[in-house]
Amino acid sequence: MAETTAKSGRNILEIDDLKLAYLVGGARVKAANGVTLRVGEGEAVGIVGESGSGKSTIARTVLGLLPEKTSEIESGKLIIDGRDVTRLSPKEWESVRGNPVAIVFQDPLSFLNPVMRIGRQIAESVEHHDQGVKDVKARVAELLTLVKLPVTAARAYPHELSGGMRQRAMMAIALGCRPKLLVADEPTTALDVTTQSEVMELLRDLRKKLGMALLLISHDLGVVASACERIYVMYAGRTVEWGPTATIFSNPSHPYTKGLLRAAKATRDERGRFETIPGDVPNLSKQPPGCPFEMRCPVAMPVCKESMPAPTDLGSRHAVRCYAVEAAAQRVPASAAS
Amino acid sequence: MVETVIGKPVLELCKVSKSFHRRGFPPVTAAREVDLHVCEAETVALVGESGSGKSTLAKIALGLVRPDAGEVKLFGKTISGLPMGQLREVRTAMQPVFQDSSAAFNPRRTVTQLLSQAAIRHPSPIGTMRERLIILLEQVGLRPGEDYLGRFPHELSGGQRQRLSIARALAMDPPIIIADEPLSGADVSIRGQLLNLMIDLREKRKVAYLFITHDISIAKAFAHRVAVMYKGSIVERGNADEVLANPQHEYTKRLVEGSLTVEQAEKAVEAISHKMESGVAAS
Repeated sequence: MAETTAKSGRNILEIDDLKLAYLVGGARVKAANGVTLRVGEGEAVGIVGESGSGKSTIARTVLGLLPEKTSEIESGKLIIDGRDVTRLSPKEWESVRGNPVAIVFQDPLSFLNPVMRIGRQIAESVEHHDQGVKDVKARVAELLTLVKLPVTAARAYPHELSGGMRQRAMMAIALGCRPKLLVADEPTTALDVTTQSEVMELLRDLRKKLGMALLLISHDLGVVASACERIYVMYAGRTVEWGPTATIFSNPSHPYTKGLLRAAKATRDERGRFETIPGDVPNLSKQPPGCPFEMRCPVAMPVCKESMPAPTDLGSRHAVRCYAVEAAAQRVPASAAS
Repeated sequence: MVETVIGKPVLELCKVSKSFHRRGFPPVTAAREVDLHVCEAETVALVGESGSGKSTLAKIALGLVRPDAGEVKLFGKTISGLPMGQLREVRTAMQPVFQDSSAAFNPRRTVTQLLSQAAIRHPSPIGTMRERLIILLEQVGLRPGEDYLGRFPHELSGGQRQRLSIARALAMDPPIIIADEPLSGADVSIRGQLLNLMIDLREKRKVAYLFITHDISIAKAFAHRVAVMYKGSIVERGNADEVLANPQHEYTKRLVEGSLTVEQAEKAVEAISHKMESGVAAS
């Protein structure tokens, strides 16, 4: 399926039917089992999924941070900024990591060096990835201002900062690399509600100001919707539905997306019970050949047990992998044309 | 809309204060003359940000932290200040469920061992231990119960393990459960199942909850009353629907408006599509 996404028509990130497994004991845990994803230059894209859906694996893959000995890319393609990076060696990854792709993680405390001042940690990233900079100190001050931290924070150690400030410091380190794509893996999950909305606002501003693309990974639909133009919904290592944020919210097609939206709203039915998706998130080491949602799906058909459906194009860059939707779209062919 | 409950108070905190002192730091007041009560079969949500003192209050209620001043009453009887032995006796009426179910269980014990430790203290047991454990497991939706008896905590999914936490809390048939962020580790699709389980228990066994959360939409949908905590004080309280739909205190307003909930995202989406429609009409 040809898909152009960026305003410029160029993609900073392309993932094509990626399959990869972690080798745990004797078992192969299929953390990605057919992920297709595009991020255009300057575009903000979100990945939504629950624990075990493989969303953090995508973050690690894009940064070349997969464990070397215990993971294996089985098939598929990963293209960053026009370069095929699917089979890069750890040494070669160094020319990708930082620039063009940088990351902020969920937990800044375990990412930041506890015995090094914040300013030094930002300076390191500048010295490493932005060698044109003459006055590193001035650049560090500029980066701190950019993430709305006082310049005096350069003198602080990580433990002296609040959670929100640490997250900003981590952003400053990432931005010091001048990335074209910033990957943010659950950047606000560890933060309080009010701090969370401040950090998200900062991310939105930075993206606009710097013209950088954003791949935001979160379990929280509300967080993703607050910053992203398009959303990919992942389930059990697969992208199952994707489209513009407004479309995903106003017209969700995959039964999982529908259930997730209803569950997230925390509304109660006439019996006073909350909406739920029955069953449990599947175990990635024993996956059935068919659709992984089949066991929990209200509209499952016999064919769903046999194989995973191909994407059905619903027009306006909205697509879904579901046999029930595919069958409905074939009955009304006009709606499938785009 | 959650029905209102009028009953006698199970748990009362009266003017409870607690501050923590660390050398070289100014003292931190985690609770400042806090009054809070929970009635029979009632759910009270305690909301606020981290550091506001919610968890300290839960620990004071459970007798895990001694308050500097004030009293904790269980069924009208003061329990704060009781010697450990007596506290242990009365505390069976009040059970905790914590946030991180993977840290809440001894990883080297099976489900049978974990639950029977609690079930053995039940005030009026019926049937053999095995039968009781199976009933407990099935009550929290782990069916068939037999299948889970020999398992270790790591052999359960996060959602199943949180059910096991609830089963352990229920093993002594407590009139009140104190739940500190019991859902924040659970996936959205599992969250509803756990909430429904807690509602079932509220209806069938008249369990009361002190429910600590930072999630405004859950507090609104699940609790009868809500208390908003900020810097150790309760700054606003009342009917959960009213307080969270129409907050009065500045802090509550910030908390409600700051939440990036799905409802807010939907409103934003509607606004965008209106703009697009009017844009199309204009051109």
